[in-house]
Amino acid sequence: MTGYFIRRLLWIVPVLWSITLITFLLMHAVKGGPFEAGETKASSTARQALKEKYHLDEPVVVQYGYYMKGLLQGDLGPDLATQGQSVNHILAKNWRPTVTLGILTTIYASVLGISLGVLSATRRNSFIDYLSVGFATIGASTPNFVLGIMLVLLFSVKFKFLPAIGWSEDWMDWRPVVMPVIALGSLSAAFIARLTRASMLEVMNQDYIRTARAKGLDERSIVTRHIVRNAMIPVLTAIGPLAAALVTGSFIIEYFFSIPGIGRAYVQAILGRDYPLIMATTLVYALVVALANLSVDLLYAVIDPRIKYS
Amino acid sequence: MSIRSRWFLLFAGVMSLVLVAAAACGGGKSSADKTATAGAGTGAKTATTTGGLPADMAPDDQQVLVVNDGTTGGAEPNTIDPQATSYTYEVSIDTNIFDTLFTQDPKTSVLVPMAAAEVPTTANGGISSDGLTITIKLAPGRKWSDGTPVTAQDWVYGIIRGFNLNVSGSGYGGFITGIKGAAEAGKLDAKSPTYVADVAAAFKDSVVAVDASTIKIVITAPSASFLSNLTLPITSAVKQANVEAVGADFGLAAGASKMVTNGPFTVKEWVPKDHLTLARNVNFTRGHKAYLKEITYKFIEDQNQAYNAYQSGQLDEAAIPPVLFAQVSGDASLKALLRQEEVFGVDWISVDRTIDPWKNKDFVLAVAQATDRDTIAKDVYFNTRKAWNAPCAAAVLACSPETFKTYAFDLTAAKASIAKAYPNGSIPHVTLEIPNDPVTKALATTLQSQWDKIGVTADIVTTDQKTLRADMKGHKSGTQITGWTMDFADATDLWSIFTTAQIGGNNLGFYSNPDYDKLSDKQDATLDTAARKTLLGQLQTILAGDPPNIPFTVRERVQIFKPYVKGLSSSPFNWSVYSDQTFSEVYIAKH
Repeated sequence: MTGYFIRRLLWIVPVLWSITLITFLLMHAVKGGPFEAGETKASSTARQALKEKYHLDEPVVVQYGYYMKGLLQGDLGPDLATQGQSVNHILAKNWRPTVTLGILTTIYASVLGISLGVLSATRRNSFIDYLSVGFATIGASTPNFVLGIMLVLLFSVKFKFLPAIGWSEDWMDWRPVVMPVIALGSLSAAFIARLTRASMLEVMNQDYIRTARAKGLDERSIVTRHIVRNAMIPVLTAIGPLAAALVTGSFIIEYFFSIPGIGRAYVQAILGRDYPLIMATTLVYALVVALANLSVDLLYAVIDPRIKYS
Repeated sequence: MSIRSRWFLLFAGVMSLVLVAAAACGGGKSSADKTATAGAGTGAKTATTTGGLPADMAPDDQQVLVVNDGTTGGAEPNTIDPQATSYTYEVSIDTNIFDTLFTQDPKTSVLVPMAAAEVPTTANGGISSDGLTITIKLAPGRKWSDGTPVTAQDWVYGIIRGFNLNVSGSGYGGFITGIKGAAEAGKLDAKSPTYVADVAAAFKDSVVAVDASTIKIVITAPSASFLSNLTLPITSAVKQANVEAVGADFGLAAGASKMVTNGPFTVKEWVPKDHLTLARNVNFTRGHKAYLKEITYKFIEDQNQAYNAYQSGQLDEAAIPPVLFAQVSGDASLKALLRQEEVFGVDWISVDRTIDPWKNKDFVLAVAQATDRDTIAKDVYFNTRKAWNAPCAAAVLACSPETFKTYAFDLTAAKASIAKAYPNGSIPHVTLEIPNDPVTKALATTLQSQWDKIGVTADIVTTDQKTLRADMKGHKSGTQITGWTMDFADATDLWSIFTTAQIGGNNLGFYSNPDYDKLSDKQDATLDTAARKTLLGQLQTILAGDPPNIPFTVRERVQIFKPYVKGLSSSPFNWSVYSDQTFSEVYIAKH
C-alpha cells in the first residue's frame, strides 16, 4: 500500500510537467498577448521594453525554459497585470476562498445527495422518492449561474437576509457562503442523489440482503451496514472527481458572487493573457485533480476489503 | 417508528434547523446596509453650518461609503501607483489619493490650479514668450499624509519617475513626451543598473525644482495641451523616501496601505480580488478634510450582480445595467436616485483603413450613412447612450457635429455612396469581430441588419478582446467596436489619436493622412485659442470626407446612489473627465 502510494505520488510529477508543456504551448498559440496596442497609453517603445523585460520577445521554447527554471526554484513568475506582484503572492492570497468553497460544496453535495438518494431508495415510489427524483432532475438541468441568480433575487434582493456578493475570512460568518455553496453544489448533489438511489436499489435486490432479512436482522443494520456501505463504492468513485471539479470549476460562481478566489483570478488571467498566472492556476488545478483521484483510489481499499494495492 | 421514518425525520429536522438558523441570523451585518428613509436624491446642493460641515451630515461613524465604481465597470486596479496607472478604474482611485498640479473646473472644463498656486500663462510669466519654459508655483502649506510638507522636489521626482519604463511601462508615459529629454530617456536601456540615474540625467535641465515651491519644465515645442497633461496622475508628486521604503510593492495590494499620499484620502487596505478601502487623510491641507471617513471600492464586474448588491443594501452605488434601465427609470422612487450623465467619450467602430473594403473612403461613408444610431441607442442601449454622428463629444473644444453630418443616417445617401464605392455592385463581405458579451452581440446583429439594407453583408465573429486586438493589429478583422473617453478636456487628446504617429498605439484603424497629421501638430502648437479653433475646424473637415471610423453613440454613465449619499458634483460635463470623480465633497446624510 505504501509503495503504491509513493509510486502514485511520483507519477504526479511527469503528469504536471506534461501539463506545463501543453498549457504553455496552447497559451502561446492563442492570439493576443499581455501588452497589446490600444489597451493602454503605453507607446510601442514602452510595450517593446515590457516584452523584453518578461522575455516575451524570445522564442516560445526559450520562454518555456525560463518558466521551468523559475518553477523548479519555486518561483511561479511575475503577474503581468500588476507587473510587480508575484504569482506566488496572488495564489497565497486567493487559494483559501476557492478551497473553502470547494470543500464546503463537496460536503453539501455529498450529504444532501447521499441523504436524498438513500431516502429515495428506501422509500421507493413514496412522496420522498418523487421529491428526491424531482430535485435530482431540476438540479441536473439548472446551470449553477441560473440557480445563483434565482437565489440572489430571492434571498438578497427580496428578503435581504443573505449578502449578494462577497466573502468573509471570519469562519463564524457563514452567511456569504450559503448561496455560492448551494449554487455550485446542487447539480452535483442531484447527480449524487441519482447515483446513490440507483446503487442502493441495485444492492437492495442482492441475494445477501434478502438473506440478511431472512436471518431477522433489524432494518437499521441492514440499511447502514449492508446496503449503504456496499452502495457507496460507485458513489465514492464519482465523488472524488466531483470534489476536484467543484474546487476547480468554481470560477463562474466566484465571478458571479465576487469571491476573491483563484477561479476568478484564472478567468481574468486568461482574458488578459497573463501567462504566468494562467500557468500557475492550471498547475494548481491539475494538482488538485491528481490528488483527488489518488485519494479516491486509496479510499476504495478502505471501503471495499476485496481491493488491495501492491 | 420504522427506520425509514427516522431517516426522514432526521433529514427534515436538520433542514428545519438550517432554515430556522438562516432566518434567525438573517439581516443586518452588511456594512452598507443603511435603510433609506429620506433624502432628495444625489447631487443636492450642500448646506453648511458655521462649523463648515453640512447641516444634514450624519455622525462621523456613519461616514462610510461603499461603491462599486460603476463608472469604471467595477474592475480591480492593477496598480494605484500614480506613475503606473493607465485604466479609468485605476485613475479614479488615484484622483482621490493624489493631487495633481492642475485639474479641470467641473462646470466649465477650464484648467484650474490644484496643487499649483495658479495656472501659468504668458501674462503671469508662467509661460515664457517662446512657449517653451513653464514655471509652476506651488500653493503653500500642502502636506503629505504623514504630515511632512510637499515640496517642488517631490513633484520633480514624480514627473521624472513617469518616464521610468520599469515603473510606467504600461502607463501614461506617452502623454508627457513633449518634455525636453523625453526622447533621450525613451532610448535608454531599462535593464541597465544605472537606468534610474540615467533617466533623471535626461531631465536635469528640463524638469527642475527651482526652489522648494517652484518647478520649471522645459518642453520641446509650444503646446496648447501640455498643461492639461499635468491633470493626469502620472505627473503627481510622490514622496521619494516613501517610494523607496515601500519598494516593489508601491502601488500594489501588498504595499498600498504604506503609501504616503497628498489627496483627500489615503489607503487603509486593499484586499486583492475583493475590495480597496480609502480612509480620510487627516493631514489634508488643500481644502477641508474629506467628510467621508472611509470609502470602500468593491470589485464586482458583473453589472447585474452589482445592482443586486445595491438593492440588497451591500452597496451605496452601482451602475444600472442597460437592460434594467427602463424598469428603474420607470419607477419614480428609483428614478430620483439615478444619475445619467454624458461623458467626454464617443463609441465608434474602428475600421482598418489599409485593407479592402475599408480603405475605400466612399465605402466607409456608405456604412456610416447606413448606421441608424437612434435605433442603436434605443434597442441596444435602452437609451443609456445617446445617438451621435461625430467622433468628438459636444464639449470638446471646437467640436463641430455639423461638420460630421456627412456620416448621419441617410439610406439614400448611403446607397449613393456604396454605388460610388462599388459601381459594379460586387460588394465584399465585411467581418464584425466582437467580444462575447450580450450588449455587443446585440449591437453587432443590429449593425448587420442595418448594413444589409445597402447590400453590405457583415459576418459576425465572436471572440475575446485579446484575439480581437491581435486580429485588428494583423489586418485580419477589419473592424473593432471601440471608442474613446478623453483623458482631459483638451481637444488634442482626441484628435491626435488619428495621426500616423499613433498607428501601433491608439490609432486602431491605421488611419493615415499627411495633411491631417500636419494640421494636428499645428493646432496643438497654436496657443491662440481663436486661431486654434480655426485649425480644429479644418482638421474635422478632413475627417468628415475621409472617415477614420464610424461613430454611433456618446457614452453615458448611468449610476444609482442611495438617497443619503449627498454632495456628488454635477456639471454640464458631469464627471465627464474621469479625474473629476473625487469624493472629497461627498457625505452621508442623516437618515
